[in-house]
Amino acid sequence: MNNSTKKINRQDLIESLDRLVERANQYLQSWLLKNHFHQVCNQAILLFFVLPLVFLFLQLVRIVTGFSGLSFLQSLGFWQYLGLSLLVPILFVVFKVIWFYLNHKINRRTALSLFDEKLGLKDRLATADEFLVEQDSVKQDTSNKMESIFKQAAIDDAQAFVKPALSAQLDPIKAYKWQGNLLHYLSVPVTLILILLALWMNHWQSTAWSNAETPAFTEVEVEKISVAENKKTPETTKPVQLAQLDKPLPEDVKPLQTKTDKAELDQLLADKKDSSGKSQAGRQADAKSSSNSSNSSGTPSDQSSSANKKNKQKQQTEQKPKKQSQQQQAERNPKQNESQKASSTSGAAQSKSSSRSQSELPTENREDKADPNEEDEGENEEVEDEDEQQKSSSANKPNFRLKKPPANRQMSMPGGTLDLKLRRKASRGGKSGLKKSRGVASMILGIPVPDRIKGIPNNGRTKMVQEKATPKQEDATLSEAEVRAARDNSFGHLQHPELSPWMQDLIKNYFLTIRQQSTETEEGQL
Amino acid sequence: MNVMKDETMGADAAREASAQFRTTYNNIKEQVCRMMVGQDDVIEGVLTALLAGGHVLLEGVPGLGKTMLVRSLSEAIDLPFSRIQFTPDMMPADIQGTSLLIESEDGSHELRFQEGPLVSNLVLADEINRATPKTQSALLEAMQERQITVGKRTIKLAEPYCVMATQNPVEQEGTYPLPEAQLDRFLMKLIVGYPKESDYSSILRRTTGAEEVTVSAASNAEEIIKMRQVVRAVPVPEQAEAYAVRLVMGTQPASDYAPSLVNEHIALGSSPRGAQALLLTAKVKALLSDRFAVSVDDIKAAALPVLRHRLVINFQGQSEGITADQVINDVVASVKAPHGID
Repeated sequence: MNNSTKKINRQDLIESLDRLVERANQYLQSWLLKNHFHQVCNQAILLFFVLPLVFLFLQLVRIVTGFSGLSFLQSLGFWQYLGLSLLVPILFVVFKVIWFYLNHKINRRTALSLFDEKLGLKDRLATADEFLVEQDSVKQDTSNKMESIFKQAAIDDAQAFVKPALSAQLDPIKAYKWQGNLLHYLSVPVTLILILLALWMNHWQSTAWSNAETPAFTEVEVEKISVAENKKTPETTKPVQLAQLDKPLPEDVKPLQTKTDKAELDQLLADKKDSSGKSQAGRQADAKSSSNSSNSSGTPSDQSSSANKKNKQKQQTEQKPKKQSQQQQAERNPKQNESQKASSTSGAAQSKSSSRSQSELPTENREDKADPNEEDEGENEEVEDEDEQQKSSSANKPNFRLKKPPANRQMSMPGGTLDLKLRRKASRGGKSGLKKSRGVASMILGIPVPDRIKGIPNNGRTKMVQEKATPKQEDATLSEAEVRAARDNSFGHLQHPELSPWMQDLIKNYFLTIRQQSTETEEGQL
Repeated sequence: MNVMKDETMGADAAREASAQFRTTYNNIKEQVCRMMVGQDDVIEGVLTALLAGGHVLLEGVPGLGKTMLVRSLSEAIDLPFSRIQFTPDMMPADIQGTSLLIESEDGSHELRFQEGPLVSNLVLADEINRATPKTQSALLEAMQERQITVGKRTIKLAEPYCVMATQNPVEQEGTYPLPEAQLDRFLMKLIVGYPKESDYSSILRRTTGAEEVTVSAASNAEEIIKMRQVVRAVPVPEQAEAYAVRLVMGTQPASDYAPSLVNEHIALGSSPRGAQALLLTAKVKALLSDRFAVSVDDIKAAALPVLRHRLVINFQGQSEGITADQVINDVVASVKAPHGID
C-alpha cells in the first residue's frame, strides 16, 4: 500500500513538474520574445535609411543615364517614400522574431529554475527533475548505492515544494527598458533628409528638362552682345564679362576658337589695361619688376618663383598690345609670317632652351614665345628679358652667361706643391675656405662649430717634485725626574689589554707567592 | 516493487544519515565553542574542511586563538593531536621522523625509526611559513598521499588525517611564503579576524577567571570517517557541477568566463583541484542545510575560502592593492549559472 502511494506520488511529481515546465515555458517564451522584439526594433531603426538611400542612388542613375525604366520614381511622393522606408525595418523585425521563436527553445532545467529562484528552493525542483530523468533512463548503478539513496532523498525532498510552486504567481513581465543609441536616433533624421533629397532631385530634374524644351539665348550670343556693349562702356561691364568667360560652356555652345574672337578678347583686355592708366601702370610695372628682381636674389626659391610669375604676367600684359597689332598684321599676310618662322625659329629655340625658367612656363606661353612675330623685336629685348629672369632666379641657379669654369669637384686633398691661394681657388670652397662637398661628405656639418668642452677648469694633475734638503742638527733637551703627588681624581675606565698566557701565569704566580709568604709569616708569628 | 522498496528505504537511510551528520557536527561545534568565542565562521570552516577530508590554512595575527582552536577541536573529536612549531632551522627529519641508534639490553646496537610529529591524526603546523621550503615540502606527501616516506620506509598515516597550519600575515621578515603547490593542497584558507566587542567580555572571563573550561569528546575517529563517507555520497546535479567548473575557469586569465579584473590582475588562476575542493565543501554545506544535493548557492558560499589561496595576483594587481577576495567576488558576480536566469 505504501509502495503504491509512493509510486503515485512519483507519478504526481513528474506530472506536476511537467505542468510547472509548461507554465514556465509560456512565461519565459513570452518574456524572451518581448525582450528580443525590443532589441530587434532597436536594431531595425538603423535600417530606416536603407531604402531611401537606394532610391537616391536610382534617382542619380536616372538623371545621369536617362534610363526610362526608373521613371516610376517620379511618381513617388513623400508619403510613399516614407512608407517604403518603413518596409525594410518591419520586414527585418518580423523575420528576426519568427526566426527566434522557431530556433529558441527553453529547456526543462531553465524552466524549473525559474520556480526555484522565485521560491528560494535552492535548485530543489531542477535537481529532482534531473534525478528523475536519470532514474528513468539509466539503470541503477549498484556500485554507488549511497549516492543513489541520496538522489532518491532529493526527489522526495522536492515533493514537498511542488504544491507551493504550482500555486505561485509569477511576476508580470517588466517593460523593456529602451536603450537607445545616438546612432539609432540619428537614423531617423538621416532618413528624412534622404527622402527630401530624393524628392528635390526629382523636382529639380523635371524642371530642368522642362526648361530645356523652351528656346533660349545661348551664352555665346549673350557674350557677343555684352562684348559689343563693352566696346562702348568697357570700364563698367568688364568684370561681369570676365566672370562669364571663366564659366564652362555647354556642349552645344562652341568655345572661342576663331582668331577673330581671340582678337576681340585680346582687344578687350588691352582696353582694360589702357583704361587702368597707361601713364602710371607701366612705370609701376617696370619699377616693380626691377625691384622684385633685385629682392628675389636673397629670397627662397618658392618666393622667387612666385615673383617670377608675377613679373611674367606683367611683362605679358605690357607686350600684349604689341602682340595684338602683330597678330592683326599676321592675319593680313600669313604667308609672310610662315617664311619668317622658318628663318628664325632655330635660333630662338636655341637661345630659349638654355633658360630653365622659360621651359617652366605653360605651353600656351611657350607657343607665344616661340611665335616668330615676337622674335622680330630683336635680340636686345630678348636678352633683357632673360637677364631679368636670371636676376630674379639667381638665388637658385648659376649664371651660365658668366662662363666661369665650374668648381673643382675633386674630393681628394690637393697636392702640396700648389700655392695656398691657388689651392683655394682650385678647391670647391671658393674664397670662404669652407669646404663644399657632395655625396656622403655633404652630410658632414658644413658650418664651423667651435668645440665646447663641458667642465670646470682646474690645475690639472698634482705634480710631485722632490727636492733635496740637508738635515739640520737639533739640540736634545733632557727632562729631569721629579717627585709627583697622588692624583686627585680617578682616571676613569681603563681598558685592560688581554695579557698573553705566560704573562698571566707570571702575575698569578707572583701574587700566589706573595700570599704564601704572608701566610707563612702569620703562622710564624702565631 | 523491490526497487521501489529499496528506494524508499534508501531515502529514509539518507535522511537518517543526514540528520546524524548534522547532530554530530553541531555537538563538535558546541564543544569547540566552549573554548573559542566569537569565531563561529572559522570553527565552521575548520569543521567543514575536516569533514570534507581536506586540510586547512589559518591566517591571522597572533593572539586570536588559532592554536587553541585546533587543540580544542582535537579534544572534541578525541583524536591524537601533535603540534609542530616551525622554525627556520627545522629539517624534514624533525617532523617526519628519523632512525635512531639504540642500545638494546644485550648490549648490541640497532637502528630504530622514531616517528616525528607528522604521524598523528590532527597536526597543528604552527607558523608554517617560518620553515624553509625544504621542510615545508616534507608536508606535501603527508597532505596529498596521506603517507610519509623516510629512506626506504613508507608509513601510512591513520585516518582521519588533517593538517591545520597557521601563518602570521604581519611578520613577513624571515619567513618563507608557501609555494603554490603547497597552498593548493589546502582545501580552504580561513582568515581569523578580531572578535566583536560583545565577545571580549566572555573571552576575558573564561581565560582569566578561576573556572577552568574543559572540552569533552563529542565524537571519535570512526564517526568522523563515516561522516566523510556521507559527504562523498551527496550527489551533485549537472548545473551545480557546471557552475563550479565555470567558477574555477573564471579565475583563470584569458578563459571564456574570466572577467576583466582577472585578465588584468591575476597571474595564475585556480587549478582543477580548486573545483574538487568547491564541490566537497558545497556537499558539506548542502548537508548542513538539510538538503540531499548540492545547489549553486552552496558553491557560491564555498568560493571565497576555497579559492582565495589558489590565485596568484600579478605585480599590477599588487601595486593597485587588489586582493584575492575582491577578484573572487567579481568572478562570482560575473559568472552565471548554466540555467541562465537573471
